Amino acid sequence: MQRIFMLVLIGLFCSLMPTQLKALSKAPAQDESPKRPYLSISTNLLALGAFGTLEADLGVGISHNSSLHLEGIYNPFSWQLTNRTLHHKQATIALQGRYWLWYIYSGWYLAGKLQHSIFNRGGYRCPKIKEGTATGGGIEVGYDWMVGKYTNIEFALGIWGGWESSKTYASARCGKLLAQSEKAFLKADRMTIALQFVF
Amino acid sequence: MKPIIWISSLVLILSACGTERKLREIRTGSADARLSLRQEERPILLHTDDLPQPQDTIIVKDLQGNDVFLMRAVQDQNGEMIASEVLQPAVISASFHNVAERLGKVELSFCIHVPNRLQDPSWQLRFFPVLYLDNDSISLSPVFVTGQEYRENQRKGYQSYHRFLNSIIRDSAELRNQRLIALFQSRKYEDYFNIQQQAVLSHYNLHGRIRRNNRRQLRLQDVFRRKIKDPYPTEPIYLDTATNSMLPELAIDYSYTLLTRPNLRKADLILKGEIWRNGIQLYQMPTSDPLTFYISSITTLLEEKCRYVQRIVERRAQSNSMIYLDFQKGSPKIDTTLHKNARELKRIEAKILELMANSTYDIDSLVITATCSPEGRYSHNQALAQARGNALKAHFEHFVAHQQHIHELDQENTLFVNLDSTATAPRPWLNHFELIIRPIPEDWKRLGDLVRKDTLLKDPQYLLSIIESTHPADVKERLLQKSSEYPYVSQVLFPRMRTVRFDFHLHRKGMVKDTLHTTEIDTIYQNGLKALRNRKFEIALTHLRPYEDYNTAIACLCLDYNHTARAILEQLPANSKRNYMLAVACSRLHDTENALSYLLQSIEEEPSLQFRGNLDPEISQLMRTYNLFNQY
Repeated sequence: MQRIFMLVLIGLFCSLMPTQLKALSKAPAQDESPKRPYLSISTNLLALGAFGTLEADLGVGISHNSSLHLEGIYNPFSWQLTNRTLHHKQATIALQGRYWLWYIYSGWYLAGKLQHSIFNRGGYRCPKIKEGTATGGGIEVGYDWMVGKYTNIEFALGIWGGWESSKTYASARCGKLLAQSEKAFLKADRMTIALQFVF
Repeated sequence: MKPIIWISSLVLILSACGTERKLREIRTGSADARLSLRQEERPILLHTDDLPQPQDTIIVKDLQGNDVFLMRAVQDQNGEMIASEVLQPAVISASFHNVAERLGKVELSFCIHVPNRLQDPSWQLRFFPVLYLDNDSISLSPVFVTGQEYRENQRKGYQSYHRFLNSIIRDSAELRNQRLIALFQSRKYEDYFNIQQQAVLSHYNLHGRIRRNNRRQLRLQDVFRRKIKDPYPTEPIYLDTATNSMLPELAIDYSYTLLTRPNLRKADLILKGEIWRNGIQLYQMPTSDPLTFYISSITTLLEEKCRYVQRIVERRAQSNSMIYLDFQKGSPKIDTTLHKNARELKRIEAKILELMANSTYDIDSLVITATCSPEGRYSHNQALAQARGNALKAHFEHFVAHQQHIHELDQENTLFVNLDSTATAPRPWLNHFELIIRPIPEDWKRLGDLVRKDTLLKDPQYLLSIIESTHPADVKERLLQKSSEYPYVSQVLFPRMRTVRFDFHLHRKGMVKDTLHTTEIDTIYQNGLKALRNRKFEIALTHLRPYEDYNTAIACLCLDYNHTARAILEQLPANSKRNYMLAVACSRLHDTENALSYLLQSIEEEPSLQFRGNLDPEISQLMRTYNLFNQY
């Protein structure tokens, strides 16, 4: 189910992206100025502090105040402590649509997204780990602060909710299954301070 | 901390008490500003401090403790010792001054004295001189005397206000985030999207800063009033000086140029004053005693006289008329049936009647000049012209006689009355005037003029060469007849030569001389004198210049045209006033020798003019320099 959802997200983005690129790159009509897509790539610097989580965001402007973004979050790392292993692993993919109050990649925006996440995390205080999947949607509000012709600093806060399916083990390796749950959730999504390149 | 508060409070109380005591003293009149003449204009007075202060009376105590008065004593003629006391001299200063009006202006100079007791570092003294002239008053520019502390407080207030002013942003660029605007524009959004430049500027406005700026602008007046208790004066002031209250007395020289006006003889100057502290008026000084300026002007020496209009009227006059008369060929008889003869004769008869009845002129003579065309022999034409002239003379003599007879008959049957119904003598007609005949048999000169003016002749030069040649008249006529244009000449031009010209020579009735002296007052001269009295010198000179008399010279002197005035006065007969004015003119032209000469001559004839000399700077300078008339 989750894989299907993930495939749908990627498929949606890939189908929209070429269409948009194609539309934007066609020869301009005689009475229109030439157009090119505004693209953006960003990475969340704060996420690096979350146990080395890597985040990347790819965006494309659709109109003067709307853009489409594909986010990927990946953390494969484990951190070996004295009596336990700490890991905050996840593989998350999200498709986000943003509405800009001014022009794209400048100023405030409101975003809505569809997100699917596979996670495995634990070992923060005890050896227990929790792994599972979460699928749902979220909203986000952010601000792009222009620092250069091609550079922004992006600040964002978001929440998301959906359906989570998880199992809790006593330890990361060969741990006893302690709990299993499938439930709805609503929680803070992430806090972003991202370095963004616009071109 | 407490002792400091106590000491500060004590200092404040003491200073307030000191200021209050000072104000009380001023209110009781022990210190006031006053007016005086300027130092160089004041007579040299002895200050009472300069005089010896004898101590006439000494009080001592005797052995019993009683007061014993020891006085100065002098011995009288009887040998007795009498107590005497030397009185302190009283110094009287003049409260008036004579000033002269020159070139329409009067220079008033005076001095404002501010005693030490009136000065205080925390006060500002404001003095308002007021000039009273007849029914008018002029407020002169005020004088401010500002204490150092007062000035310092003003300066601090303005500094604080300027700091507030500088905090208000004037440049609209500072009310926008220029960095973000530049970055936004660098991303070339406008190339791809429809962007209004004004929308971009408006989006990046710093709204908080704008609101704060607007609030500050609204508070400007309020902040000004709060920080600046006493603003610097905006109206023109004569002087605003900061003073060190260590000065014993402050004397401020003041000059004012008053423009003259009609009948200006006196100006009273008074001084009003105020004491201010921290923008609050503490005290209004009573008005000072007036200082009077008596204003003298050269125009007071003008001659009030009446002139009458003189006219030059010509005795003789002339009037002339010309008629065209046709005669039968070879006949001198006047035929009224021919062409327009009747109309032409009627025209000249009407002219004669008009002149005969004219009330201004009489006819001396009437010269009748009759001309003929050149056809025929000259001798024949000569006799014909004479005969025609005689015929005309006879005709008009008969006409005039007939008209006079009719007029006499009318007079016998008519009563002539004036407008006031009293009978009057009938208007007399001219009984006789001479009729003179001047016949011109062949007027070749006139023919030449007609040929020149004619535009239809094909070869007028050929005709003119014949007409202006020296051939006899008959030869010229034969040559003309040979010309191809002779028919045109004989039909069109010759009739125009048959003219009769009447020249009336007239003279004015009852007039013997050419120049008339009327009894009509010359209003131009009177207007000139009036303008001179009203001190409108340019207008006066415009009116009086043609007359070149004494009053013209006065007008020239009032305008400082000294050479012109001198030239006019030197042509006039000598008298005291004329000599006095010449002395003034020569003094202005630095001709001291002649100035003194004329001055002495004028005073010898009219001794009172030496007192007038004190009022005119040109003369008073001479009197002082050469020590004239110093018995007074």
